[in-house]
Amino acid sequence: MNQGATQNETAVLERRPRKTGFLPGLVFLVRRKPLGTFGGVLVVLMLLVAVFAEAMQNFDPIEPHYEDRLVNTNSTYWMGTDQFGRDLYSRLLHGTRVSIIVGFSAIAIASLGGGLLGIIVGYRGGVLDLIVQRIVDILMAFPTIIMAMVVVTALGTSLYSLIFAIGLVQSPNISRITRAVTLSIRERGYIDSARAVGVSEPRLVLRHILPNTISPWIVMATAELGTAILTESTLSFLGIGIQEPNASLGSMLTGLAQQYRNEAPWMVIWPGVAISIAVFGLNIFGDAVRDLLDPRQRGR
Amino acid sequence: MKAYLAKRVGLALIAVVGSSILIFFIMRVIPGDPITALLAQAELGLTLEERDAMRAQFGLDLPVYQQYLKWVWDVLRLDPGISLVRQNPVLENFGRAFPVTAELTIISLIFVIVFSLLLGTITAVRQDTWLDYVVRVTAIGGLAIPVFWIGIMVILALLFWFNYTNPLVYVPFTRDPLTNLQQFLLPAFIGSIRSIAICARMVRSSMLDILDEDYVRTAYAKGLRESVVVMRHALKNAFMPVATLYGVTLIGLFNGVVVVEVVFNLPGLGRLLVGAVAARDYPTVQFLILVSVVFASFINLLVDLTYAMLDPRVRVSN
Repeated sequence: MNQGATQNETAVLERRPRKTGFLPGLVFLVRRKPLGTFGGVLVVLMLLVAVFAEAMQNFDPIEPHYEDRLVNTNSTYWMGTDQFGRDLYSRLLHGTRVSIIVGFSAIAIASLGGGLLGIIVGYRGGVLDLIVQRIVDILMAFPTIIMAMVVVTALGTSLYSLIFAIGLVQSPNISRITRAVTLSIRERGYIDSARAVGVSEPRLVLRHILPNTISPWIVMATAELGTAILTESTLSFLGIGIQEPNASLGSMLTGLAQQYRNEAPWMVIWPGVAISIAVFGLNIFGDAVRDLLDPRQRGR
Repeated sequence: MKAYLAKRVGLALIAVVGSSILIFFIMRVIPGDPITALLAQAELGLTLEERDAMRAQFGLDLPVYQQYLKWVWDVLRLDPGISLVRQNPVLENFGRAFPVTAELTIISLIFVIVFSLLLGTITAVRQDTWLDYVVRVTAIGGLAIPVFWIGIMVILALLFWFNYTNPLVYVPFTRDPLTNLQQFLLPAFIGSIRSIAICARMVRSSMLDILDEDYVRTAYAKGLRESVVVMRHALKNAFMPVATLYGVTLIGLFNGVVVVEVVFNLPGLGRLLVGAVAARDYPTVQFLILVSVVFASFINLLVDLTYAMLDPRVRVSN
């Protein structure tokens, strides 16, 4: 039975089209993972919005038009205006940019910091590993929002402290993963062989261990992107993230917007739709990436 | 079991002490001391002498480790200091806010348990039917929608379609239970949606495993009705692995509770904490966070001990 399974797997591997080139690869992806591709398209659209926000905007996002306050959706203001007459569509574009910057930077910090830490303690083991694991335990015992709040209280509310806070909250998860992978790689034959031929330790870690942890690492980072953006919007909504007059998708829904929600519901509808689409896109894209890079996790 | 208990309690204590140090140092050391931060925000033109006097008043001129010990001692004496913003004892604010959060959390937990068992079981028994797909797709989509926005949208929808507004001013349960529940049920449900989605998925997969077991087939073969098989034979056994999950959920629920308190204007710990963070009211923030860490560690400890009690292998391998 085992034999059969192995043969089957080989057959599947062989049947997989090894077509090279961008277009055939894309066709393969669309056929194999339609939902994931859709998520990928949403992610690309979001990135485009983040990069070209200025080119796409109709007005300056922080410029008030006092004569047009709380205007509903029309041909001038595509998503209406807020209590200062600021164009919500333009604010939404810039808010998306902020969410993207915070989400991606936070995950970059968490992946680099947490990921490398996981590899180092996984490789070293011993007392260092024990101490770091206890700290990771402590960090993971906090509800995520609370942990982020501690950092924001310490550093004050700014874009950078927000990025750092969310990065710190996410890093224990990622370090757990890379540590676990490193622990299993460390015992493999090729590591012993490399050591036997006199490969130096830094080289051993960088050339032989690190490349083999990349796949679960990417999977984890993609999966956490949606969570990071959700955390950013929640913190900004609570008023301890991005501050007025700058827009972030969450801060567009704070108490100020709440006061006007009954007379100008469009103020609170659009930003929420934007966050949901963004996180949904990232989540299903992340699922597809996980399925393709790590088939064992499929359907879980 | 005794050895395991001792070890586990010891680890929990280390975690609590460790996080209290972590909290203290993150709050004090990184940005310079809180007085400087506070003054920088207030932009008061204080002289250096006045500032030093203020530091001494808050004990900030002592070496850091002495400040830490003093804080721990104060907390143990149940005197965690004076709120910098409200100018009253932190404990007083805590005492007032605690019942709100406790009630919200308890109701939320009940919602999580009831709905996740219900949805998880139904989707497992009716695997791969339209019902299963609808619930699963809703769960995936629902996890992408921020809790606070769901709250706002529900409030708006109720207002527009039914002209209904949730009671705005907090009423304690003891004064008017009906109004109080009317006020709490909706926020508790919205705050628990994420946890329901996560737990229902676990119940579903645990249930699917059990439904494959021989004794379930035997029960069907005996001619028992499906409801009896599912309720009495399968659910009981599927519940074991997820029972401890609800403990962990309790910690995750707090994320939802914070947000829901702000959206629905309930004066609980979450709103207290958010206000304190925004104003950098560090005595309040420190105390609230310490309480939440102690609470989280206690829950984790309980979860582990329950595990060990249910499954002897755990305490042996540890």
